[in-house]
Amino acid sequence: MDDIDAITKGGTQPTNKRIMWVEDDVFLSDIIARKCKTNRCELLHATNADDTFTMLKNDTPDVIILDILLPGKNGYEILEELKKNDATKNIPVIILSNFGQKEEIEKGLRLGAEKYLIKATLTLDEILTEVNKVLIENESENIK
Amino acid sequence: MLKLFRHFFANTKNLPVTEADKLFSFLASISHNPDAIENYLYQFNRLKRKHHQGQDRIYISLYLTWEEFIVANQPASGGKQYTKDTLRQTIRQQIKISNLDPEFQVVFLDIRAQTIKMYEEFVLRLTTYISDTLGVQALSKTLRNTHHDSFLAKIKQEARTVSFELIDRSVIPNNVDYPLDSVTKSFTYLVGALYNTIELSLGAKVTQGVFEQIFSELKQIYNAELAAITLQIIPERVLGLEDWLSLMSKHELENQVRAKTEELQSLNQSLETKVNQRTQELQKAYEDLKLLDDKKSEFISVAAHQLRTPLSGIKWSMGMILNDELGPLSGEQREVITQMNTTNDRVISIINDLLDIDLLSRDKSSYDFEQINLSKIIDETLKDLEPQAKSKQVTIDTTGIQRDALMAEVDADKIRIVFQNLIDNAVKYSEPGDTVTIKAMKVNTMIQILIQDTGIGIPAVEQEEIFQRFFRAENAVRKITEGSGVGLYIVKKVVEDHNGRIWFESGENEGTTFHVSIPVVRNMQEQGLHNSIAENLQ
Repeated sequence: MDDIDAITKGGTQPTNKRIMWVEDDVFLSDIIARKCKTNRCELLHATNADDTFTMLKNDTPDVIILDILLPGKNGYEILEELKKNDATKNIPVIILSNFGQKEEIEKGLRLGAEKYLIKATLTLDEILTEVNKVLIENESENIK
Repeated sequence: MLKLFRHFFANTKNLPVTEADKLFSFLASISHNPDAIENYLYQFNRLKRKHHQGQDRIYISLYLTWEEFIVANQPASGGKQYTKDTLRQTIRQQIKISNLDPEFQVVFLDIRAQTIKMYEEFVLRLTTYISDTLGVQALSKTLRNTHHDSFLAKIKQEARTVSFELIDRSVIPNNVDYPLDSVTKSFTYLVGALYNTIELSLGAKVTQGVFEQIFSELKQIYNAELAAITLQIIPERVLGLEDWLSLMSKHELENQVRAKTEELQSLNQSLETKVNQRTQELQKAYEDLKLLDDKKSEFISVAAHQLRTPLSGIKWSMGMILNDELGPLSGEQREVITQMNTTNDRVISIINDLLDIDLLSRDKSSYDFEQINLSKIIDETLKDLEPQAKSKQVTIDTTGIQRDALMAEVDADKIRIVFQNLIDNAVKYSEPGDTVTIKAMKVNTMIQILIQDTGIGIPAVEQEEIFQRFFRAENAVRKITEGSGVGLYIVKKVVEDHNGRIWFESGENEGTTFHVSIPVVRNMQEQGLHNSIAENLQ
């Protein structure tokens, strides 16, 4: 519930970050691209597992936002592979899906996601506030 | 064996040898148990000494007893196993039945001829009685009325009685025109008519006496088993169950009980088979339903996902537009888009409700109980609803929440749904300037919560239905048109899944008070405290 506190107080959003966003829906992808532009964040947009791993060979984003229902491999499978691979296991992953039942959330967190967010209940501002929190936590951990 | 016979017939050797002697000798020759033979022959000799000419009927009972013994006891080896019918058939071949007295002959008739013979015996006595007491005229009149029955039409009236001799006996036994059932029906009809004739003149009591007397006579002449055949044609109104029982011999009763027992056993068996069959069918139906239910859950989950995705896109887009992130908005554009955004959120919340219902309709295992202070959940809910209350100018009075005493074992996420719905409703259906009062306290083993508003209330006629799925009160719809009507259904389900209880008092335009009681420990049932608690809270 602390998370909600931050939102209602008006949390800060990330700027100048490299965000990998795995989303296959065209409409959502479009609005995400616009939002990242206004926030001056670099968007690495992938629509499936193959895309994701190809892009990760050349780039290391600050955070990965991951959908669950995707063509081909689903988000859980991608997450598992990311956490197995030394090159990617330290990149924080946030699951953003419209599946939001208890067992689904638990599965995502068990596989190593930092957060599990449900698309329809949050605005993009609120989502990015959550992303920012994860980034800040991650940085402070890396400093330690 | 021969020696044995000599021994037993020794006492009666001065008496003439009759057909009955041959009959019982034959029975002895096919019996296998020496004790039984000795016993039955002893009884036979006793009867024979008392026997007078034309009185073969005194042997009937002994014959039937012995016959039953032979039928019931399997020969140890070699010997032939008889049924009643095959035994009688054999006897008809072995001895000259026509040499026996007519009454004894009846025993060896086949079932059809035997039955008709007993009917005739009964009717003969009945017609004789009518002729003697009411006169030949009365008898003739009655018989004339029965002559449209083709079977009875062949009966001829004699001086005092009727004659069945004109019915061709060689034809009757196998006459397909007169199956035994319809013969019984005809005789029943005839006996009924004769009964009426007597009753009309002499009354029911006398008539019944006549019937009983004739029956007793037949029982004495033949035996209970043969006499009982006539019970089929005696009108039911003459003999009640008790009379039946008293008129029948123990022997006959035993036979009937045995037959009924067998019938029951076979019924039991078929019942058991049926129950097994039904159980299997139910099991199958249950599995089918469960499969269907799983499919339904899967469908709802997928459908909700598919619906929520485009709605998310709309939500996100409108959020950016309203933030002026996609260019400045005119005042009017902002108003319209704000409404669109609110509507979109409502659609999302209805879909969320549907998901909640589906989740709750599954078993309780989806619950995650923990010890938590309910005031924490109430406060979080209040924070969510604060903006809404403020914009409606509704005050929420929380001074009655005893924050220190509200620890309970609950599923926090699910109990939150309860508070959200109840407080949200209270605010929604209040007027500006109204106050919503929330109280919460621990009473014995229960946490008692009260949520009171002074809003539109629930019309009395609709109060029974408010916890139904998709129900919305008529006045609520008029005030606020949207809403899925699943809120209170979910609330009740959650409260009951916590072994708690929810109830309310309400009057239209007087407001509504909801009471919720949740046990402090999940498995504890409430102890009938509602009334006193409700008073405490008021």
